[in-house]
Amino acid sequence: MIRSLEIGKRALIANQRGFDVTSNNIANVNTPGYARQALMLQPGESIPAGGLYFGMGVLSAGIRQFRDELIERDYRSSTSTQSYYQQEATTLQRIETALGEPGDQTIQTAMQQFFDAASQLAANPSRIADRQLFLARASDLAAALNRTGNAIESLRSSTFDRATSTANRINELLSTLASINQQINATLDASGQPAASLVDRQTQALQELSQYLDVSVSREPTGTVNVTSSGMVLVSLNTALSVNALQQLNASTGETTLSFSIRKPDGTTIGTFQPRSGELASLAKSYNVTLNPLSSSTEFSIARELDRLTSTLADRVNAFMTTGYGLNDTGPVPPGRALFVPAGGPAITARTIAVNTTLLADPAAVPTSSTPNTPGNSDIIAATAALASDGTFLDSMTPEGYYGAITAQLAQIGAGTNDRLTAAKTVLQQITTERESLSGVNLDEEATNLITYQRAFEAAARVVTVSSDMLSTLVNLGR
Amino acid sequence: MRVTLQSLTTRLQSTLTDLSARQAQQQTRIATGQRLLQLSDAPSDIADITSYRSTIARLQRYSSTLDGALAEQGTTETALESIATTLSNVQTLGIDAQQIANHDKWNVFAQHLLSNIRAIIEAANTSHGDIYVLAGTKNTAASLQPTAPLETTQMPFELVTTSPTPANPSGLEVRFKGNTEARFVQTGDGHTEQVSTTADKVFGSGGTEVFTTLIALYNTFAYAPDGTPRSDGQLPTAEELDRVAAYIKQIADATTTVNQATAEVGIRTDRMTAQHEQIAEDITRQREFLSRLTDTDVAAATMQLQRDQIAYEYSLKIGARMLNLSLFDFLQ
Repeated sequence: MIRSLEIGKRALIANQRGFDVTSNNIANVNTPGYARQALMLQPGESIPAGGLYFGMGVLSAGIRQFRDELIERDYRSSTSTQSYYQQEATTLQRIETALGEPGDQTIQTAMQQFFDAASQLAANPSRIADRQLFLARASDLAAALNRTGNAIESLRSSTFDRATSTANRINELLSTLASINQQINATLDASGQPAASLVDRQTQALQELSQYLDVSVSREPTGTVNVTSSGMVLVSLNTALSVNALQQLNASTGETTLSFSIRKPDGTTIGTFQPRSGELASLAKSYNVTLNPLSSSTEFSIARELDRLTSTLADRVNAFMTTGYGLNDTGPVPPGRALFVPAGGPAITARTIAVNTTLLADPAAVPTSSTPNTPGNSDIIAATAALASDGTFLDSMTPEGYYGAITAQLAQIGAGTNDRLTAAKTVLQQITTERESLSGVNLDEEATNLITYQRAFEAAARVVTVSSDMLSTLVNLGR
Repeated sequence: MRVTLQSLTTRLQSTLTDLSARQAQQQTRIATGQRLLQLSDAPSDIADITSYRSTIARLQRYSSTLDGALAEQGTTETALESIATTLSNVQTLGIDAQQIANHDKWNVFAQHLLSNIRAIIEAANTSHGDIYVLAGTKNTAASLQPTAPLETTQMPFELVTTSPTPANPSGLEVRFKGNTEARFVQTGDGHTEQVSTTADKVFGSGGTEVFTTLIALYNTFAYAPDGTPRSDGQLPTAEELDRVAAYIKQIADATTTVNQATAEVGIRTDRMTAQHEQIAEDITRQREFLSRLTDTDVAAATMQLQRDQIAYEYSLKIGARMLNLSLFDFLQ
């Protein structure tokens, strides 16, 4: 009888634990990173009696978490890829905004108005009102280029800030993972398994880390993880290295680039690395190539192309203007007045282009004539206006054609990025579904488990009651 | 396959977000009339769109230039017609003066002729806006500085009085302060059009030849062969009559020259007008091409919006129903 009571007690305990695990699953149905758990039961040991072996009920063998490391690895890899393209798409969209494309108030519009004004002035070179209009349009064009150039530089600057804050967040996550490793080692259960809640937190930290970096994870039998990115070990047991965003200046070219250094906890730098995927990789690419005016990469750089257009336009226009004469110039040597000059920089770029203040102060001084004292001569300004349709302006294109090629290239890259982002999202969604299918909490399933454990608990309680009654009967036999 | 609450909610959220974004896009397209909301919407069209916009802007530039040029041609034509008419009047005046009945009135003819010379100079000084149409490229008042003391005006043609000489007893002389350089404007790709009529094409060599003839005729009317002012009733000599006949012939030739210049302006005007019309048609055609690429097809966008709205509505309904039901709803 005592054996039956023990069997009943074990069943009560096992089913109560099963109920607890189910309740915990239901409670965490919406917890990010949580993997469902199940109580593992095993039959109790058999005890010989009367030449027979009698089973001793049920025992709790442990708690299993439903998590597949292969799926987790794919999930992290897909998250990294998706984050990379998401950041790329965001940057490209911000470039479109900086350009004002597609819209009516763009650099192309400003160029058209500039050439319109030049053409109008060529027809009436002596008219002061047309000279003022020409200067106003030249100023508008310079302002449009300045605005766009500054917006792109600001975007580049904010890209660095974003890289810095992302690196800080990465460092927090690396510290968290090292700390979890330490806690796991300190709290292994009787079966040598880590606490499920620590593994959940670890998984969540790795998931977030994979948004920023390409990470590979190697898991020790105890459940601790070593984290590597682009060949650099970032977390090993309870030691976490730190990632730092650096702006490096190339003294000979004046180019600044973004790189990442790896530091030990004592602050010593042990090397640099370039992330291959994730948000950080996209930020580095944007900073070093797409938004870098001095980029030497063969990949598309909006800042470089815009500066190229600006400097060529300024050089070509100035080449005409410096050989021309204004309304009041009597010669014989041309006064050599340039229309465009650099403001706040040594060279003319999209950010520095400005209209010569001498001309702004005196519209009559705008060089329009190829000979002195001939206000009706419009050779210089006509040649300037004709640049609009000069098919050899830059890379065998007109100025507007070149700008069109820049926007077309941006559009192609944007569309390609969007396509890849859509594909990455789809892959991630599929892996998420697969992951959820294995690790997620199904309420119907948990409700069934609840009933199962409840009924088993009720039955075990009945076993105890009946055993108690039987024992009582036996005890009362002697009375 | 196990379906969990998380996977249901994640998928529903994703679907609803996508459908909301699509609806917002279609609504923006309908509201703004623009098909392209960002460059990446139609990357293959961007180059064409830029090209069309550039072409339209270029054509509009040529159109605007032609507008101005045509206006100047109108002013020039009016001036030339006035000059031609006055020269014809001078011819008539010369022929009248040759009549025996008028031989005693050459003083009067001289005064009429002088007023005609002044009328021609006034027409030659016609301005269009702030430029003088027959002054070449030196055509503004600022560039036409008079040489004191004889010249006083900042106009291209000026009648001045110099010291009398036997050949020119009146001392009258017409000075031309402009130049005979032609002005051109760009009216098409690689195509320029001359917009100015130069003084030498109207008035002969140096822009003053015809005035020399007119003043010579005036001197013949106003002065006797010895260079003294013609007295009232003083009859012309045979030699003077011959000279007048020669001058009339030269003036007739000058009138023909002016008429030819006027015809050239007319031909140029016709050519520019035809080009202007052609450009206007091109602009319309290019705008139509551009519109096909950039403007919203409202009917298609409305239908797409309708489809997205229906999908959104049903996603909400299905999602709400699926998320509400689980085994817990049926447990007592």
